[in-house]
Amino acid sequence: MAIKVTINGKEYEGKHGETIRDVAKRNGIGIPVLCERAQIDPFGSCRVCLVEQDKARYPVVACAAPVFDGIVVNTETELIKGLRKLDIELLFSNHFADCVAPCNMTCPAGIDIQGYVGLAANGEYTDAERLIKQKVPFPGILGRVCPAPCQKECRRNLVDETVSIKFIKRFISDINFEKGTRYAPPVALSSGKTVAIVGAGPAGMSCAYYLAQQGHQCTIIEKLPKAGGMTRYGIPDYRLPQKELDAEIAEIESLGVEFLYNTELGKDVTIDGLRRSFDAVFLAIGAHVSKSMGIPGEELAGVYQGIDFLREVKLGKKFDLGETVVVVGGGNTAIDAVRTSLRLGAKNCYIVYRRSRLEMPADPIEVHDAEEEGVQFHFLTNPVKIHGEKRMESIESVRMELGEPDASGRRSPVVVEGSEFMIKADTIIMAIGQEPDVSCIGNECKIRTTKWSTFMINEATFQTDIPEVFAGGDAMRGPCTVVECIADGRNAATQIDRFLRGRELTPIPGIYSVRRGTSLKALKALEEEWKNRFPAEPRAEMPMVDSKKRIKSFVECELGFTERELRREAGRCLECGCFSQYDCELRQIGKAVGAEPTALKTKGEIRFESDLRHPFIMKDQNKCILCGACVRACDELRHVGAWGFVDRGYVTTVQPSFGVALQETDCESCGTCVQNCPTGSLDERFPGIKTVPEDAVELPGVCTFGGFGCHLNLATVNGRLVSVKGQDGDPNRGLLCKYGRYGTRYINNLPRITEPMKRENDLLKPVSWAEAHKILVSAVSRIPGKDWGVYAGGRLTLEELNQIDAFIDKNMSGALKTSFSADSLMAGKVLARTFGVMGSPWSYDTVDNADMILTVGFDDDDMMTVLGVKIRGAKSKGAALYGIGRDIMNKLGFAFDEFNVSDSIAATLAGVCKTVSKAIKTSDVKALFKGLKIEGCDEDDSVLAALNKARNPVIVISCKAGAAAVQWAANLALLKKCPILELPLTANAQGLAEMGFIDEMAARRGLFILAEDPTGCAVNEMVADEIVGKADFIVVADAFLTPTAEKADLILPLKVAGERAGTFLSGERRLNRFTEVLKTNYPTIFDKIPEAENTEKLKAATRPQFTELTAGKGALRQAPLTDEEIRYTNGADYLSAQASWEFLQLEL
Amino acid sequence: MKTLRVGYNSCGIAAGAEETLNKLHALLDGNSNFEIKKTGCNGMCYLEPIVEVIEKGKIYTYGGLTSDKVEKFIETLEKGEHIDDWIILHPDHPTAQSSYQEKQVKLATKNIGVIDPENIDDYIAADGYQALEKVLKTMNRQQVIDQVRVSGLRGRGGAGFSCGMKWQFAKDAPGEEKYMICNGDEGDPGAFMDRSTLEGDPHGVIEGMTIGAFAVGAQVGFFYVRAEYPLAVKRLRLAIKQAEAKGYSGNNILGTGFNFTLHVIEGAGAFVCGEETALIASIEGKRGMPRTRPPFPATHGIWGKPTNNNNVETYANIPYIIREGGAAFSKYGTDMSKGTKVFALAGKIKRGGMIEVPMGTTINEIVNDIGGGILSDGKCKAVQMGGPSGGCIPAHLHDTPIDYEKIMATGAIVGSGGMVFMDQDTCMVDIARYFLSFTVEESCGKCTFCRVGTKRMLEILERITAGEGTEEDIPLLQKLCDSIIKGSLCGLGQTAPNPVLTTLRYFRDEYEAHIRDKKCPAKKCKAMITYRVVADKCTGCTLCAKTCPVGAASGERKQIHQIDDQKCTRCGFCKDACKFDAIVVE
Repeated sequence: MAIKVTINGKEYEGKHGETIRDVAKRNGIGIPVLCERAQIDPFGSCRVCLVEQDKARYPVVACAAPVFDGIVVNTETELIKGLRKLDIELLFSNHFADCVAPCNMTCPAGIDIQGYVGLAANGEYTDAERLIKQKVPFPGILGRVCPAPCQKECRRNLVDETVSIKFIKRFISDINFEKGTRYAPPVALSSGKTVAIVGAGPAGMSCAYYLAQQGHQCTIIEKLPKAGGMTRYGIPDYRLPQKELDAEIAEIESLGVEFLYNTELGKDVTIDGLRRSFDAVFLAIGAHVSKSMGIPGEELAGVYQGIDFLREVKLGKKFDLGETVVVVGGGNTAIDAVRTSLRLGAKNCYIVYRRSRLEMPADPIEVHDAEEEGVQFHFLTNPVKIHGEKRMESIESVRMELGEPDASGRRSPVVVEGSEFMIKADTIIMAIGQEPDVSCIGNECKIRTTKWSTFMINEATFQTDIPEVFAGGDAMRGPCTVVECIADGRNAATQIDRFLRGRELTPIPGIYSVRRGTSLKALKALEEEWKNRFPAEPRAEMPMVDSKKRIKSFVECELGFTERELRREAGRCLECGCFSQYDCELRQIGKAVGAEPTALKTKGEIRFESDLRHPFIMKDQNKCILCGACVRACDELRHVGAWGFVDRGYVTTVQPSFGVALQETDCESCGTCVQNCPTGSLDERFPGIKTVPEDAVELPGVCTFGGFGCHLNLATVNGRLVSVKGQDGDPNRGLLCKYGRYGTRYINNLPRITEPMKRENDLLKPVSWAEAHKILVSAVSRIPGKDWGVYAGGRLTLEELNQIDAFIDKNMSGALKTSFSADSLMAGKVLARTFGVMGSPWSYDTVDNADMILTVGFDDDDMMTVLGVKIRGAKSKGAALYGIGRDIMNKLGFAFDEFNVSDSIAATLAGVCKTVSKAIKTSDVKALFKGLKIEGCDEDDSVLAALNKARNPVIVISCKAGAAAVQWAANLALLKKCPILELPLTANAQGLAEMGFIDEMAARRGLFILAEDPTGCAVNEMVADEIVGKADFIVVADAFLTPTAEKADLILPLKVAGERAGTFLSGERRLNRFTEVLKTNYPTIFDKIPEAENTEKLKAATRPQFTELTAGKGALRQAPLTDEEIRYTNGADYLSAQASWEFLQLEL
Repeated sequence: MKTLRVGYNSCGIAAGAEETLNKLHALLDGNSNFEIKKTGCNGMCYLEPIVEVIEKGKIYTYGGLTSDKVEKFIETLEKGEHIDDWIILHPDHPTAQSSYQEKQVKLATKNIGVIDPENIDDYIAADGYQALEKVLKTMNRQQVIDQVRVSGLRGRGGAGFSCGMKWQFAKDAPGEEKYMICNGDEGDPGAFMDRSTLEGDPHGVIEGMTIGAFAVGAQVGFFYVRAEYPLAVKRLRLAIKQAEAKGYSGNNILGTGFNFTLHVIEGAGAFVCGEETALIASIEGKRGMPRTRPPFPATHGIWGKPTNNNNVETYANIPYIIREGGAAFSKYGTDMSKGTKVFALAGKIKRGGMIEVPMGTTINEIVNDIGGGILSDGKCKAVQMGGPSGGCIPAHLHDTPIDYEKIMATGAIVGSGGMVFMDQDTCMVDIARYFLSFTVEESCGKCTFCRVGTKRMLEILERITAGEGTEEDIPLLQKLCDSIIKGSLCGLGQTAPNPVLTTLRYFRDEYEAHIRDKKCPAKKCKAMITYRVVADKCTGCTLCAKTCPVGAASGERKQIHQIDDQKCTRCGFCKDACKFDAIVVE
């Protein structure tokens, strides 16, 4: 019966039992919530989904409040919005954590530093570069010249020293050039719009880089003969070699950006002219005019301006500097000028600066390097007059002392009266500052400038007074750092792109992040604690050319890290930013509702250390919002209960039971808690790998491990697997076991086979495909077909099996066709004898409604699979649970009502059946099957008694149970007319059976082993060793260099599921299709042998779509083998069915 | 033959009743002229140990009868005389203490202090189990509920929901299996009504609950009593055993075929377990955490079955209502609040104890007539009603009659019956801070507003009392109060801001004085006071210097003393010690 629900003034239809959120969700009304989780009972703790309901005194939680007829709900009132915002702010106030790392927050360009440092630590250099290039196009330039403000805020400073972020960036850039693995961004289709950019400096080129990616045609107009701006003409080669610069500029060009050199604004082109020819203009002319000191004698020869001097050196002008050079100023330009002078042959080089060393704006490392090279510093000194005839001869200077701090906080220098003295020098270079030359825009232009000779813009939009003319970089800010200019260029590009598309130019928001402290200073109190927590590990020294040697040329001084140094240095990163920063629901909702992370000031946040004891699951209580999703998921979905709430009040925490390490509880390492955590409080980590927060894309996949056929979501970045989650919906409903969740990651870590290899002098050696082909052909012609054994693994797809089948038919006719997982095919064969179906004809869902379950041959590992979880679920709903197996179940044995340990499961089951057989011998078989009750059996047998009592029993067999046990279990199922389910060991074991890889295992002269490792992990080791040992020639096709592969004569590469598309058949005959979502760049054997026809066998195997058959709840759901033949529906006539009485023929 | 009734509840025992009783036994055992009985507390806890002498139908109540007085007491009694000075209530003439009892009407507590709670026969002799018999033998389920509805009895646990309606819901809820709960998880600071009732008259509560079970159709009942009440638990268990033996509980009660089994569950002292859904979770063996409602326990209670939950006092009223009829009960009280209410008087009041008064009695009557005024003849500043969920009612509103709606209008609640009185020396900001610190610790930790919101509020109050408050703090407090009330999951959070809200409403000037002037008007907040010696009054007796634990007070004999403000910890010992009022707080 439908009921009337009014939400925000609109009427909707609701159903009884639905919550407000159910109805809202169905109708596309978003109500944010944190604690509600799919398939878990509502909890109502987070209060984020509060809505107003007219009949209720206070707001109600939409996730739990049921709808009723006539209910009136409002989800967006001022009250609700206020509560939601405050709610999140309250959570933030006790969230001692950083969404985004402080380095990233400090970077003017907002580069994901933690991300690229982590990727570099893992050796993912191209991805690291891709991450950098999301924000800046010049990792090589910045890796050399950036002042790295990030390093000052690096939390590692609290422990020992900063991570060498800048040098790591340089390494990434260099190695990708070296290996040819540079990242090139995709370029969108042409937008038809054009942009003129004035100035080929960092700002202009960055703007072009990001605009070009959006498909806009960019033309850069440059006054000088080459691109680079200040990075080329203001920074000497020993800091930034020209070839590095050229290489990165070439990448800009390769995006289709056009450069017009020797073209000057105001002379060759005008702003109005550009406006006529282009859709938008970006002014990034830099600040290339030196500020004059305005002292007498500046007109003399031997007097130079710093930035002009550096530029002219680059342009090839020869200088006669004499013996002694004095450079005035304390900034980087002064240092560059003085070090350049040294390299041009000057003997004595001085820096004269009017304040003290402490106030110098230059990078301390530069100052250090200059001193090392022999530069001398005169602090608190200021020239007042330059003396000389034609050429300067000496500088009259005064001493200074520091007075009161000025507005900038620096103490102003004051002249010491009567302190005049003379400095003898041949050359003076004045490097006290630069400013833009804004005269180029001409007098007519309406663009206003500031008193500092910079362009005046709207800071939010980067627009000048003319809407289509934008400006940024030094020309807008005055002299600033390269990274700031790049940020301007990128942000301006964003606004220009919006402008070109006719969109609103809204301000570009800063990074939204909760922070442990806004500065390193604010966290000083943590120093002791952190020093104890993180072992000190000194920063890697940057290898340098010897100072005596380097002043002789302009060769780059810094040599760069080796890969070893790099990995170690990147490994020093403390990983401050949250691993879940991209999918944290708390952060997303906080941002959406405008919650201010620091709205509620407190000193009372509780601080915890992260619990890293579990190998894959980390718990950071600082980020816990006490929604209990983990506690509830573990209890309600997994029936384990490893997590619990501890204490009460403000200090409540979530911990493993009794505070022990998670792995010491009944935890199955299935990660369901992590998957359900809405924040980063529970996260994944892998030993030996740097965990990196990444903005991953989730793509569907299928588990390659067990035969349950779990559907996965593979979180990928650029075709690289990052993490694995369970897919909601059938068959596994979000659940996975530890293999599926954490094992799948092995594909990133194990050594891969990417090219063919042959054995030569007992060593494996890469060979070409052509040679591999030759070797294979010769082996096939040498060894007759019947002497070949083809062993196929259960991770091969149906299509691949079909292709192998065709290959065998053509090249190895008569070969043995089987698998080393043949044991798991055994169950299918046995079931086929009894039921005529190769495998179990029932759905795994039949377990859900069972009132009695008998497991046969199950062990702990089976119990922890999703099928095991379903069994425990039925148990928790009241089903009786019996087991027969070889081992005591250690971890979850308590779930059983009775567990019979038996060396021979078959004998035990035969015993059960024996009592039945007596009944059969003495009574009419037809009558026996009329009732469900097995008459006359031994009531003392508790298993049988329970089976008798049950109305919906289910028998579950493990393929490890053995053929005889499976046969007896099948007989029992037949007698009881109850479902029997099997759990194959491998993903496509059912497919192997259907495709006919079911011969008895045997030794052969030639072995062709695909995707199997009998030497490394055989079910039956002795048999496997014998078969492998007897072979003359072994071909192994695999994705990994397994122990078996190491014994092969010829190795051919394979890929794993997800790296190629295909189909698996699960143990319940569900057809699981998957596509290629992971990137690889090599061909496999299946690309090299001819495509096979769609055979009848493949058609049959892929036809029965399990999901096509639906039955009512409680009824037995069965999978059809073919369209026509559905054998055992509920209530079918068993006797007329062709079920065979295997047990009657067996010895009793 | 004289009967001596010794008040033997926890309060009496704490005051020395055990020693008194032992002494009485030592002197009188074997003496047939005397009979000694243990009873509960007659409510005059402030005069315990109390011994009542019953002779010839007259009751002489002796107060403060500690064991050292027993010998003289017995000597006098044996002479057939009385010691008038020790008698607090005299059968023949009024005493100074008479007014304590005069205004009271005892319906729920009529047996407490009268009968021996460990003797079912005593209870039966006092009309006990008559109501149950009447119900089982002459009434149907609806008739019982109708009488309760007629009585107008509202839940005495605090919320004041109609008891009859509640029973009706549980009765009408579909399902055969139903449960009864008696909530004895009394947790308000200063409240002890449930303890006293369970200790003094457990059968009364059992009878009330059993009648309720019959009415709603429940078969099993749980007493949820905090483990800190060992005597109550012991007497309750004993009473259940006795009731079962006599056929008043268990299977086939009074031969009528009605089955009702009672269990006693000891709560681990979590305040939140007084909340019914948390209490139910706790009974089920889960963490005591409230859940969202609906569904309500009336339909989905223990193990998802219909469950009725009332507090101790509510059930204690039922036998009277059934015996005398609902109308007899509703004679008492106001239009909307019928019957009587039990209160526990605590704080700066002269006569601290348990009282039962008709609804409609004013706070003033309770303070002055029953409570005898404020200690040291001070002026009453306010009374906190309803514990941490309630609020402070200022003295100028003390003519408010006790009535659910009228008390609610002041910002406080009637609550379960705790009344904590405050005098002029109480800092109201500090009081708000105290109650809030209680909820911060006792929040179950489940929902954000209660768990984090109250903590942030507490920090603001701590800031203010430390003299670090700012102008923005009051509006921020108000915003947090409002949001916590509207956003919290259960009653604990929804009422937690009440102490802050009422003190803000009535004593805003005190908050402002702390924030703006950095002064605590009550001179309580240590950060804002200094101790000073008044030169004129100081005699140089050196007592302050001797008393000071940190050596802040000093001076030569016969010289004016000084207090070093840097060293002073504001403990106040010097001021208490000074005999010349020479030390002042500023």
